[in-house]
Amino acid sequence: MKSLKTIFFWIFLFGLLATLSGSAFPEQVAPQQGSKKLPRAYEGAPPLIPHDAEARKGVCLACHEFGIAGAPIVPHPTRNHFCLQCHVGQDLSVKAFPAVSSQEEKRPE
Amino acid sequence: MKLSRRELLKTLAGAGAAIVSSSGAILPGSVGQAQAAEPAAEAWKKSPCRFCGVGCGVLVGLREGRVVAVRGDAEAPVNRGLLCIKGYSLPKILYGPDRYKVPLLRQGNKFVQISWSQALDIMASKFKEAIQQHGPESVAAYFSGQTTIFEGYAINKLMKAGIGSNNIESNARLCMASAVTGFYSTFGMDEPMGCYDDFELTDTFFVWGSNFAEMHPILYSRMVERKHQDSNVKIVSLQTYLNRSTDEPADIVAIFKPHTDLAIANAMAHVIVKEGLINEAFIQQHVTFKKGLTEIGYGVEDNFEYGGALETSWKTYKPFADKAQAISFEEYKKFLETYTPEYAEKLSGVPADTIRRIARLLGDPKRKAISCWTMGFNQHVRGTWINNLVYNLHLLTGKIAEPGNSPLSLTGQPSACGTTREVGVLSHALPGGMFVANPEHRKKTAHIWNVPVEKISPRPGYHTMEMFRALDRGDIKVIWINTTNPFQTLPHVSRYRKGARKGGERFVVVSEVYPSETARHADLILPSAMWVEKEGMFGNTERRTQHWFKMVDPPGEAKDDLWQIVELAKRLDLGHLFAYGEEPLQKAIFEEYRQFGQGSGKDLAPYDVYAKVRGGLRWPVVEGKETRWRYREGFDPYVKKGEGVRFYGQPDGRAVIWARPYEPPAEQPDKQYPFWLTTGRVLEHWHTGTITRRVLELHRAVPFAPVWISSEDAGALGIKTGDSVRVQSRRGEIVTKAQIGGRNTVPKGVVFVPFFDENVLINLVTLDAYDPISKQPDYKKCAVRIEKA
Repeated sequence: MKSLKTIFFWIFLFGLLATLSGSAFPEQVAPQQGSKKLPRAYEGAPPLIPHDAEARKGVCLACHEFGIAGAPIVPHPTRNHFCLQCHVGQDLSVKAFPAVSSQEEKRPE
Repeated sequence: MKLSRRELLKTLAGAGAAIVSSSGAILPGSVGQAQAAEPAAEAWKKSPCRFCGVGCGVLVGLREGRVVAVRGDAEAPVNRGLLCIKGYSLPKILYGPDRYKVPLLRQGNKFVQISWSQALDIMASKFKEAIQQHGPESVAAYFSGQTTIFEGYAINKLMKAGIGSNNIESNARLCMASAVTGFYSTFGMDEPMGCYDDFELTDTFFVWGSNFAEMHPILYSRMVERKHQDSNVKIVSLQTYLNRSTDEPADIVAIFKPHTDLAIANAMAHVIVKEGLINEAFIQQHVTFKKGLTEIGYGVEDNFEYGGALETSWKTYKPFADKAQAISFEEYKKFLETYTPEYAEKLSGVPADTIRRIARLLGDPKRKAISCWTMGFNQHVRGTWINNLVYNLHLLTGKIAEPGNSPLSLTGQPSACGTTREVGVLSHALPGGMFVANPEHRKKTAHIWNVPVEKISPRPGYHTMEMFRALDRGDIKVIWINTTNPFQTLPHVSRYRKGARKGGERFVVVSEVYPSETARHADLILPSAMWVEKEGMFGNTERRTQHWFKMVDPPGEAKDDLWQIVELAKRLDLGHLFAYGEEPLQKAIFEEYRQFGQGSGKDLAPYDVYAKVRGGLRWPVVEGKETRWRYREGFDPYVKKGEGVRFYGQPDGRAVIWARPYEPPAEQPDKQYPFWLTTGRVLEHWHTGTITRRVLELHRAVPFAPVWISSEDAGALGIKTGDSVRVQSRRGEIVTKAQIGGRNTVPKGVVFVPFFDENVLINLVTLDAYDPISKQPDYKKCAVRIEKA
């Protein structure tokens, strides 16, 4: 049962990576080893996800359980089932909010 | 198993550096070498998280007068060392570049800097003028479920005992009012009987219309851990669309059409009764049956009254009150006959067999059961009813008020329970679960407040929706909005935004930390301190009261809200309300507030105990001991020996099973507006995003609010993910990008838009219908049309 599940994950993952590599989101293709690390907010803050997390939900462990393709291995094996509650993806093209600091009245509806 | 896990967590949380080095050791060149943006902390102090109602304990890392880090507190029983990404982002919420640092007064379309004494003088003179010319009902205060206990108590006392106006509300009206009326009507007393310990003690979870994987992440992770420890554990997730709370490891997922939870819950009761899964002895000893009024309307009219208002003046207006009528068990059974699983299937789309399976799981005498819900139930034009209906299921089976058996109403905000509900920061309430309309309650309150009893008005003030309608009509002249953002969050918000800026004698004061939609509609903006920039206390979902001390200074001239309240009081010649002598103000306020709870079942520990204890205590705290399960002998000190179970909130000690029918919602899709719109939140952003969007990591994780649309509907309309889409209702429209799939998958005919994004102001579209019993609006359903923009 377990092995079937693992096989399914792999098939799904490869399908996904193939799909994503042709997607409209250049920031969010497959991670390359060592190249995509993002700085943490502070020491002890959870690492950020340098690849698309939404489309790969539910398959984190396919790479991160054993470190496939250079993926960091999860250091907290008892907490492997709700990754996205601490680790979030990043769209690096997005600038800080608010873009322009405005205290003025906004457009009327 | 549990011990070793705890130990591991302690080790992990005990040293952030250990995580880094261990992962680094496993995989050199990986996450371990990421740079730290802030220097390491010099000192750590305890505080609850300032976000959701779960109430996680955090350790706040301090260095040179700044918050530089947080850790989940391994000693905190709620989260045992873990936090969600919002919690981990706490250090950064304080340091956005556009924090308000000085008071600002509107001049035309601009704001100009003024001094605190000018600001407070202007504010006080506006209050005085309105009170003198139009009476105390012409002023209002609108606070928050994020207001601390001290602040909530002070503003409540200032308004009700000083100014003599009951126009004091909390934004918690928008998120938990139906939970409160549900508790009162069923148990005669507010707040859950169980606690989070039930998550490890139960074996069956029922999650109703709540994406708590995103909104209460730490509790969700406790459920998932439980599931992974014990394969016998079953999770049933009933939702209106697929989301993270329907993902693995949910065992049964039921997607129902919005609003039909009423029919499903009654159908479950139908199956439980028909198949003999009831607990006959429990029902005989501890339950009565009642029915209430039906066809109660939707509150969309100003001054809404049951059966239609003849008189539109609020002075003669009688807010809706339900009328209970006792019925027999036989009559209740007769009521249930309509609600066959097949009937519920017709309304809800959930197969009758699935409803049977879910009901049998809940009824299985060998299983324990807990039910969890939040906004799906509470933001519901029949919110009180659906709260009643889920209690029915637990009362019929006797699965209540004991370890592992509990209905648990989850709370959205960190102190919606501790402040709004327990301190009574609502237009009809008084501290300690009392009501302004009750002469005995006014007497007790006046005694503790040391004011003449005539000072406290017996008339409930405006509830939130009517308060902002009154501002629009001009009946309210001056309003103080604090720690909340109604001009983004009120449903049908265009009316209330315009109302605020209609001029005349209206004057809107907003205490804020960052520019928000509400601050932009203000006449006067007061810069506030937030979280550990002040001392505070919060009370979470499971009756847990937690305390923190001030740790850092607020920026610029920003001041904490308690100071603002007391300074206003002084200028209104009401400073005596807060003249406590030498004692620190916070401690004095809490010790006075504590008198309301003593001996009433809501006993709180002394201030000094909360100041010390890590992770807080669950009330009633009697003789130094907290209470985990209420209404049960051996756990609750208020249940006498030999009583077994006693629902002592009700005069006869019996909880009520309510016959509450299915009634349609205020608005349903039709030819012109063929889609359901449902609104809500995302994990990464807190409510209107005012603070979380200023954290770069959170903003980059979810930079804007898309509209989730089903692939079938998108296909039919020629819409792809990323296309601009117009979402339009009878009230207004927004344009945003389409999202097909991802974390949510909506069924055909439903669209979902989160409300955090001020540039995608979805509340221009929503409907301001509310539950007449709770006065809480329904953000989960209105009719819209969709087109490519």
